[in-house]
Amino acid sequence: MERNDYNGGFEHFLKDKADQYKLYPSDRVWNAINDRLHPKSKWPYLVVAAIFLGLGIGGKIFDSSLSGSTVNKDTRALTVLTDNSPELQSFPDNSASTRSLTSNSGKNSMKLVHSNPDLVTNYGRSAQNKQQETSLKVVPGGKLTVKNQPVSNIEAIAGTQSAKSADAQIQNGYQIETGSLLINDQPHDLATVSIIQNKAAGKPVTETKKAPKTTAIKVLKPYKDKFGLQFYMSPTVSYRKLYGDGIKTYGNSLGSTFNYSNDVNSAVTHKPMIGTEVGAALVFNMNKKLRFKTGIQVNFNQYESLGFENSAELVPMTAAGIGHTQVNAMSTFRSSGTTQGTWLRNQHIMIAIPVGAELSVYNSRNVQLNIAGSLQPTYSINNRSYMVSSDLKNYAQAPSLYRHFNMNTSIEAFLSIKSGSVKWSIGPQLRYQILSSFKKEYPISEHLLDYGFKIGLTKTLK
Amino acid sequence: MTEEVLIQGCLRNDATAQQELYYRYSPKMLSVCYRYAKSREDAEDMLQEGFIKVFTQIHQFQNRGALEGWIRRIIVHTCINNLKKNKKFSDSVDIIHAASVSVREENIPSILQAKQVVECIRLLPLGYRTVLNLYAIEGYSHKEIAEILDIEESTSRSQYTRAKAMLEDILIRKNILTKPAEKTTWLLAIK
Repeated sequence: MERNDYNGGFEHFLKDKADQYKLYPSDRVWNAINDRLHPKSKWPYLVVAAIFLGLGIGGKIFDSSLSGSTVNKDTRALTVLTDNSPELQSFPDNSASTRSLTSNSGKNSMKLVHSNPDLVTNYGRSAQNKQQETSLKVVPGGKLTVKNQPVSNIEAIAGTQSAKSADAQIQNGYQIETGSLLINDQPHDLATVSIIQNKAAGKPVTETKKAPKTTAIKVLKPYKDKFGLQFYMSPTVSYRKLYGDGIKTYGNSLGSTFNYSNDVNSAVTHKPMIGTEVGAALVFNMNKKLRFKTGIQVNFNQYESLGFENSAELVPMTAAGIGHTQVNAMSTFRSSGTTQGTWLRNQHIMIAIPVGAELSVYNSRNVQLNIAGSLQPTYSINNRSYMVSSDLKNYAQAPSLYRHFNMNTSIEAFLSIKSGSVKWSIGPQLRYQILSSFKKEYPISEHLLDYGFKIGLTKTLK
Repeated sequence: MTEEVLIQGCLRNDATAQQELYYRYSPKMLSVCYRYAKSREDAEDMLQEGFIKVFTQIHQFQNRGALEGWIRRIIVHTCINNLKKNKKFSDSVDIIHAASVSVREENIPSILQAKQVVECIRLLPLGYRTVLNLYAIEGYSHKEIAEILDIEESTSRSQYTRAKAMLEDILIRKNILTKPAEKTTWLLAIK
C-alpha cells in the first residue's frame, strides 16, 4: 500500500498502541459462528415434534374412539347385568331368544335385535320395578352376533363374568361401546324410554313395548384401559462423576507445564444445584403388574465449579492424537488459586426419549408400590460447561468437545394412588448419564448424576 | 498447531481448527472492530460476520502474505460495509472534548495506555475515526480509502487532517501526549 504523505511518528504511535490493545469476545460470538458454519441437524427436532404430535393425535383418537361413541348421558347410565344378577333370575329362559347385533349408522353404533317379546316385557317389568331409575336395564344373554359373528365379549358378560354392573366390567379390563337397541324390530331411544317410564310410572309395562324408540346398549371390548397418558415432573439435584487423569502436554506450543495434581477429582471443586425433569409418556398396560411406556422428556441440570479469575490464556483441552489435533481454548479462570473464587455455572438442557417399564410389587385396590427403569437416548439442545483443561490448571469452554447425543438410564420407586380416573405417583428416582458429556478426545469423562423426587399423574385413556 | 495445519483444517471445514484459528486471532480482530463500531456489541457482531467470511473464503487465501493480515483486511472491510449499511457516515461531526485525565504516560502500563489511546480514537466522530483508522492504523492510502468509502480522495485527506488534529488535542488533554509547543518529541510513548 502506498503511503505518500504522513509517515511521521504520530501514525506509528497510533498503530503501535492500537495493535497492543486486545479485547476478548464473549462466548456467544464463537457459538454463533460455529452454528452458522456447522448447522445442527434439524431431524432431532422433527423427531421430537413428531412424537409430540403422535402422542397428541394418539391420545385424541383413543379418547374420541372410546368416549366419543357415547350417545348421551343416558347411555352411561346403562347397567349390564350378568347371569348372577338377581334381575336375571326372574327372566324367562334366554336360551330360546335369538338376538343379534347388526351394524348401524356409525362404526361405534350397534343394533341389538331381539325377537323374544317376553324379554321385552321383562325389560319393561324390570324398568317398572325400578321406577326410580331413569335408565333402562338391559340383560344380555343367549347368543349375540355382530354381522352374524359371535360377540364373545357379550357372551362373556352373560355367561362367565360375575361382575354386578358395567362399572365392574370396566375394572376388569373391558372397553364399553354404545349401540342402539331394537325391541321387536322397533327402535327404542333410551332417553325417550326413560321419559316414558317417568311419565308412565305405575302404568303397564306394555307401554314401553309399544313405544317405537331407540335405546342404547353398551358392548364390551377387550382393550379397555390398556393405554394411559402420564405427565410428570421431578425436581432434581445434580452431581457429576469425573473419571480420567490430567495429561502432560509435552512440547506444547503453549508452554504448559504440569505442576498441578493429575487427579481430576482433587483438582476441581463442585457444588450441586437444583435441576428439573419434565415429561409426558404414553403408558401401555401389559397386565395388572407390568406396564411399558415411552414419551418425551426434558432434562435440565446444573452445577457449579469453583474457579479463580486470571488473565486470559490459551490452555490445552486435549492432547494431539491419532485422527485429531490438539484443541486449545481461551481461559480466564484457573482451577485453583489464593484469591476469592468464583462459582462457574454449568448447565445442560437435554431432550430425551425414555423407553422403560414399570412393575407393581404391591397391589391393592387404590394403592400400588412400583419400581421402574428406563433407557433415555438424549440430545443436548443447550450446553454451557466450563471444562477443566487437560492439564487440570484452568477452566475453559470448548463447545467443539461437547457431545450432543448421549444415553441416560434411570431407576425409580414410587407409590401410586388412584383417585377417580387418574393415578398420582410419587417417589424417588436416580438418573445417570452413561456416556461422558464430552467427546472421547477430551481426556476426562464427566457423567452426570441426578437425584430427584418424581411427581406424576396418569390418566387412563377411555 | 501451526498456521499451515490450521489453514488445512479450516479448508476441510474442521470445527476444531476453526475454533483454534478464531481463538488465536479474535482478540486482536475484536479490537479492530471496536475502533470502528459504535459499541462493544456492534463490534462483536462485526467480528462474527467477519469470521464467518474468513472461514467461508479461506480457500481464497493464497499463502502469499501473512494469514493475520488477510484476516484483518476481511474484518476491516466487514466493518466498513457494516457502517455503510447503517449509513453511519452521515452522522454529524461534533466537537468533542475529552475529559481531563491526569495521568502521565510514564506512570501507567503500556497496555493501559493502549486502551486509553483506543478509547480516545473512539471519541472522534465516526467519519473522522474511520478515515483515521484506515489511514494511520491500517495503512491504506487516501486513494484506497476514497474507493472503500466512496468519497473523494481530497475528502479523505481533509477528514484525516481534521481527525488527526482532534485526536492530538484529545491525547494532549489526557496527558498521553505533550504539547508540541513544549518542544518535546511528538510522543512520549516512543522511546
